Amino acid sequence: MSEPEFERYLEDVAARLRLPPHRKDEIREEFRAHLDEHWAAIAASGGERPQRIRQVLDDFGPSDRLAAAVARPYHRRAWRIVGLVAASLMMAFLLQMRLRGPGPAGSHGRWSTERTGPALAGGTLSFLGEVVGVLGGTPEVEAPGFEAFKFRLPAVSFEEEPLEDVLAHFREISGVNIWVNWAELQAVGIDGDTPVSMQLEDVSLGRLLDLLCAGIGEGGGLIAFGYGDNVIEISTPNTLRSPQPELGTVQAVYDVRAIIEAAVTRRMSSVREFSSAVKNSQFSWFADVETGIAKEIQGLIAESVAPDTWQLNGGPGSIEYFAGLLVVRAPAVTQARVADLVEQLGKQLAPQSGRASAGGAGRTPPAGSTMTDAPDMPASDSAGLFTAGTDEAKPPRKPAKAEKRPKHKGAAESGTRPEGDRDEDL
Amino acid sequence: MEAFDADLIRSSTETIVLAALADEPKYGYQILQALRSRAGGAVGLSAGTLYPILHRLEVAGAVRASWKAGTTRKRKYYALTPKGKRRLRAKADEWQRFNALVESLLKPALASL
Repeated sequence: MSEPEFERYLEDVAARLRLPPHRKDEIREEFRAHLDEHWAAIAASGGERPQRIRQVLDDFGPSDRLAAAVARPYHRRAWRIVGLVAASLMMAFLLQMRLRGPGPAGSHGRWSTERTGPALAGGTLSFLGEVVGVLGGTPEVEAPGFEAFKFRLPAVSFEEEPLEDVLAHFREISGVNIWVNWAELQAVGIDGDTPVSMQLEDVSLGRLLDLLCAGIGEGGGLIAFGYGDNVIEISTPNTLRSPQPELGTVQAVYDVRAIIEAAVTRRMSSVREFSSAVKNSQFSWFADVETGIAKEIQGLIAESVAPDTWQLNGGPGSIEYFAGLLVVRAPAVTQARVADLVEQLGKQLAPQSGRASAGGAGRTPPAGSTMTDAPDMPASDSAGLFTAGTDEAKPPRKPAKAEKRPKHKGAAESGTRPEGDRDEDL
Repeated sequence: MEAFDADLIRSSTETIVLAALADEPKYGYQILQALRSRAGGAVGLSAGTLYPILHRLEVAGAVRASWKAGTTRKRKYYALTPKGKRRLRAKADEWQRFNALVESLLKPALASL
């Protein structure tokens, strides 16, 4: 216990401190230790007690001034925290506005996440990543073959199976129309009995056809496939009547705002980084984060979906980012994979978001989803859907026991696509 | 040592406190004792001036405080953090530049007297 005068002084200081109790106690304890030590140090100096008490207390000064001076930095910090929170809320709000953009015409100024743009002709695209509109193109143009090529087969296993059986199997399981120009194929030495060996799992029909065409005949390249009017055509490259899917790029716009919002929110959870940005008035930090995430998405697509397709890797396809939207130009088959990747990102990052999961449950084509033809992809781009992912995990020539399938002699048969998981991941 | 002008001291108190902590962690009374032993009464720093500075530096992250039990009482020791060391270097650099400037102004002024 200190001298009573010291205790009174400390009580007075504590009473004037507008700080939490634990902070008050700590300050009082610290000052008491100082007063006691000073008191002990001057005890031997002689002199009257009141003078010595006065000497020790004078070193601290008036209690009100000391209390105010000690408490000031804590008060400033509290206000700084309030400012940080207010600034963070404001920036989050502004970022939200920036990402979402204005609502559709007629929404009377309300911010909206509604999609805009016309519905896709035919309503066949199930772009779960949400293709939201068209930039500079004619709307309501269906991407040729997109839906057919993205159909996914859980497994195929052929060993020296006749080509005709193989194609019949594709036709049967996918429900996609496949027409073979046998006359032209026979001219290059290929017929229905030409043996085919493939063993693949979780592969798209487009990829399968690509591998099939590449693997038949000496060195491949003797046959090719195209798509037109809801029919996949197989013939020789020179006699193909339908456009090859790799030859034309289509442009699609993917709404990635929900993904970016979710990613930004995650980054903002790094309190230290975020607080530092606000404290230093680095408001560009938010724009930098958004741009950075957009670049990461672009890089992810370029690396994991048909890498040879993209300008980044020397190809003709492009991925541009603008205000929460990805504008992608690539073959239809590649677009299918991009859509799949965007959907996966949305599911992982923003599972509760309507935008990110749009079309996910019902697999219905999103209103406003559309693509435009941009036929400038060179024929050399056979990457498209067919060069990345699990499709290449197992080479087609690996021998395995063949599955027995019924023979199909019809050349131009149409099938009904099976219900269920038709829009499986690419 | 003759006491300095109060305004001169006031503008340098933070630097002086940081400098006092440079060699080892110290508690408040110890800091004042160290300053008195080095500068005599020239730096008239009081407890009432010292503690607000220490708490300000603590809130700013320039010093880190820890309680240690002594023989008769607990004491709150203050130690420089890396941020505090950077701050001390910056202050010292600023002081030296200011000192050089004042000297460069005073020399010709004194010569002309």
